[in-house]
Amino acid sequence: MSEIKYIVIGGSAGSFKIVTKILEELPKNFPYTLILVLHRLKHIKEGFVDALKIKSQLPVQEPFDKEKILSGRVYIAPANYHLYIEPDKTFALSTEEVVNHSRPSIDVTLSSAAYSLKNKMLGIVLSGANNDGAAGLKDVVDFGGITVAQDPKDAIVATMPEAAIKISETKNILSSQNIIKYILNL
Amino acid sequence: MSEFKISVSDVNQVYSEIKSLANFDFIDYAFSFKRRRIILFMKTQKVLNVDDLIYRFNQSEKIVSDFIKFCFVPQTELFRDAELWNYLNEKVFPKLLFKKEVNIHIPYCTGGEEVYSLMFFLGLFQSASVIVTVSHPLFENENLIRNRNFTQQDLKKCVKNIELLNNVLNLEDVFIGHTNQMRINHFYRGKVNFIKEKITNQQYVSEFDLVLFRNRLIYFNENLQSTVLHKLSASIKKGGYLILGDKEILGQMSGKFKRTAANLSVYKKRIF
Repeated sequence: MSEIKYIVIGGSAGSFKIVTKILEELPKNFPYTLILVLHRLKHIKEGFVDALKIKSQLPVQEPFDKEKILSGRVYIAPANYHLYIEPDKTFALSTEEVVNHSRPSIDVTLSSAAYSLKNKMLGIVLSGANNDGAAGLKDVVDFGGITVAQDPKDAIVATMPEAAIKISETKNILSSQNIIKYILNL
Repeated sequence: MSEFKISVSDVNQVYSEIKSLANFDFIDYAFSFKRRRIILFMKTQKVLNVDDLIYRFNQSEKIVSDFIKFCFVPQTELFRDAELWNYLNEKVFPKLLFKKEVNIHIPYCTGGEEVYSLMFFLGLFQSASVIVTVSHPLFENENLIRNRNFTQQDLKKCVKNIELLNNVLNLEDVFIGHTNQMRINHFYRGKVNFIKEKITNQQYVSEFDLVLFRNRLIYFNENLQSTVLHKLSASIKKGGYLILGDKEILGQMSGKFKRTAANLSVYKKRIF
């Protein structure tokens, strides 16, 4: 039986469509926590969460600092903040330097989640135009979590999953449809 | 990042050493932040493990000092969160900045962007009665902030997000200098007092009309957040304002303040 309780998905250019598809497919009684780290415009606070909310049967929100992580919810890294996962299963935010030109950075969240959640997490890197997420996904592998990268042939922008596959050596390379099936069959 | 496997005990060991060598206590800072600062610092110093890092701390006061500075994150930008500055400009500054005497405090001010953003509005309101206290536990920040320059390009980037800036034709009303070295003019710079201060060591009386404390609580754990918020609350006059970061909350202090806007962390201290 899978130990997974937390799913962290990182996405950038070209990932919004698959993220909304994933949200549409998740059932109301989805027992896991889904944490989304998506590159987004730093000055636009409103609208992004609402656009995802209408696709999901689960509660969707940006977490507050030190908020407890709950199952059956979807959390989205706020614009212009890095999102950490703390060992006591709370969120922590940061305005530290941008990583891979990004804040939120997928690497920052995946790396802290890898350390705090160990084999309880699944890390997924989707379409995107830089290397963000690759080092973080490697940390997920190193700390015993499961990793998935979107098949670069299936991604609108292949750079990010390609880097993730190369650096983390993840073997789970799946199309968007199969990523959804994988999540639903956990 | 991947090559460094820093455990909880490593993190505790590093910061215990810092406390012992420099009497600077990071114990109540957020764990993942502390861990990441160690990893990044080790990379910049080309240090391969925590034992080596601690050895170097003991060999060089400068490395200890550099590490402490490295843990005070200066990353923000001018007019970060345009919506907030637009709100302050419309709803708060018009009431506040025309008072006979206005005291503003920016604690743990690391970079200077927050001070300069505020100064911009003081300049526009031509507010002569304001004293701004900028405090930080380290001395070095005064020079860093005083000598901070911004380029016209920095300012232009802000213009599209700050409604008020669109209507300001003469940036010279507030800034002096030329294309790549814009600074707040001398008059308003003279309104800033820099002090070395650690909030948790202070016994404040109600003295400030406005405290700008955005995105500093996020680096603390809940214990330290609570302590700092108690201190800050005590430092604000009744009817005064506390501004926190977008995703920071008041916790136990929420009864003492009223949130003045639904989506912004602008809090007004209750009179009763």
